[in-house]
Amino acid sequence: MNCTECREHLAELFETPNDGVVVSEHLAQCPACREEAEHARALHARLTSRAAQAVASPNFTEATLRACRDTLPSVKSSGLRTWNSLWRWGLAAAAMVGIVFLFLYTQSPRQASAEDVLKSGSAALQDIHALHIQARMRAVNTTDNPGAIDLTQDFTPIEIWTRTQPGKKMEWRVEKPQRIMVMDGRATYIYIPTVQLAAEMGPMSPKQSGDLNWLSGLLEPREVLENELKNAQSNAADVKLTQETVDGREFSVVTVESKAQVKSEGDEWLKNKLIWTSDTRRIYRFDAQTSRLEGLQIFVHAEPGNDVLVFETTLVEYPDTLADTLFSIDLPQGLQWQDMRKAPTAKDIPPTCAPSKKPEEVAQSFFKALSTGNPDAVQPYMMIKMKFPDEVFAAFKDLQIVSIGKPFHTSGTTHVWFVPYEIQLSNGETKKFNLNVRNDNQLRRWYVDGGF
Amino acid sequence: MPSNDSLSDGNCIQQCLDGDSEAFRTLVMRYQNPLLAFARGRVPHEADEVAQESFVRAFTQLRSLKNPASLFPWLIGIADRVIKESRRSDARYQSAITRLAALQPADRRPSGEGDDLELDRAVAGLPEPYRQIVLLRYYGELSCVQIGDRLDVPVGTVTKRLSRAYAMLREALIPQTAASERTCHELH
Repeated sequence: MNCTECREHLAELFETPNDGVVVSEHLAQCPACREEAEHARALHARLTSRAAQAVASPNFTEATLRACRDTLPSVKSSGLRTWNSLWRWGLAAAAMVGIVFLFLYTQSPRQASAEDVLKSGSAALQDIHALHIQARMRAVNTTDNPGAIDLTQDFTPIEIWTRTQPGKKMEWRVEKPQRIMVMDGRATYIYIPTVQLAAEMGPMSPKQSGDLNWLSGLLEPREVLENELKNAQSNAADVKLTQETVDGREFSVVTVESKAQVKSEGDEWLKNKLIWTSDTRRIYRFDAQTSRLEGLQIFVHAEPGNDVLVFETTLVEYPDTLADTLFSIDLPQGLQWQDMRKAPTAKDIPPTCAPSKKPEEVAQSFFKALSTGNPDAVQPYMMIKMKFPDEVFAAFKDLQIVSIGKPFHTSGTTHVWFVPYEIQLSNGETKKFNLNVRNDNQLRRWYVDGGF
Repeated sequence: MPSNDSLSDGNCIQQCLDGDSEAFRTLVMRYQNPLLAFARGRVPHEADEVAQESFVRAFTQLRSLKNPASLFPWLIGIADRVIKESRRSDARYQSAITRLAALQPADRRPSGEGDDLELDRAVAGLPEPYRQIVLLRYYGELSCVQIGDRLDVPVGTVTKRLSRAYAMLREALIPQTAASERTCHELH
């Protein structure tokens, strides 16, 4: 690639992880293009920030549609609908259908279907400005990704807040006892007290946050209901409706049975570790009066006859407003936010994490670093600066690598790998698991992202 | 919140033409932020009205759109005409504003101190087709692949145009910065 070609492809640097490889290679050896790329990067950041700030007011869509509907009487005669010379026949036919329908309707009252309930549930959430959910889930542990489940664990509390304000992207907060994520409309923050990790990233919608995974849907429940509606309409899942009365309140209950989406060896490894890679029963409870979603339970069919409740809401409310303080995080004194928006440069890459390395080589060198018991040797493998407790390093000091297996990855990803390993600790115990390594960044620098 | 995102522009347009006016909701939600950004770069204080009126006109003239892949450029073209009318206080624009005001209007997005109007102007001033790529990429939150699908052009063309747009924006923004710095020096 020459300089002209490189500059014509700079935009690839900010695209999906698969792109921008060739550009990065040219940048690594061309200072002039690197400078050009830095300008493009700054502009990309400025545009991203501006776009996050300059969004339509919350009622823009509705007000616009109202204005469109207001034009309908004139539109009918001017083109949106075609009214030809047979319109009178059409009207007569419609009247006949109406009479027949009215007759049938009065003879046997129409029962609402699960699809009707999902539709009205989605419509009922159209104008909400704030959401608060308290729930409990069988999480891997209190610090791990909020979306990760573990059927063998007890319940961990989890709490969610969202708020939509004029002129701002949706603000949100997801909190587990040892992990907080906040999007304040301008930036996303993650704070994990146990490892003193505090990172600031660009503004993220819930879906853009890989950490939240399936849980992101709960921050935008209307979208979840519309997806379930699609499942119902396309028969992609078995959807049923029942009615319940609890303490005098009537509820419409929609139950969705669906199969895991397992398409690769990596997905198989994630079976029962995420909701979408598990066979599940999802139970949505709607207030029969307001049509609003009032509760959700998710069961995983771990094995025939063994359904495990992995998630359930204990409170779903739609407050008029939420406190500003919910959408910020106060760090303890001495801890600073690390700005993750600054992309690493080629000269920052340590040889053991170079793009030329294979996933198994990264795993090998990482375990060697871990065996030294020296935090400074391990830090280069981490995406974010963090301080593991001393016990972690003490436990792994002098470990021996028994085997490193063939790496595999999940469907839809080509730069996130799981490397099977077996290690022996100094106390004689062996540990067999999969190390998560990834190079889904512009420079293809390798990082270790968990699994040890 | 996003509505039915899986429907293509063509499907939404067809549903609208079949009498399902609600299908237009998807199109409004899909393009409101890019269209507002364009309008803000040209008429910062009337962006909401211009964008709303543009959608209303698009709604009423939808049948005249021949190629669904041209929907967004077509919307920009309509907005451009509405902006021109607003600048010369055209009777049609005034009547539209009166009509919109009679309905319950949209809350105006408040102008904040941090508003980057210089950037808005620079984006709105880009020549087509670079402008539509930048608007869709950032304000429409689409990837280059998605933009290619939406506009029916190869993804390589999208990334090239976006790369060139960065250079054009840089050119458009640098002289202003230099000029304002010069003014500061001259004043002190």
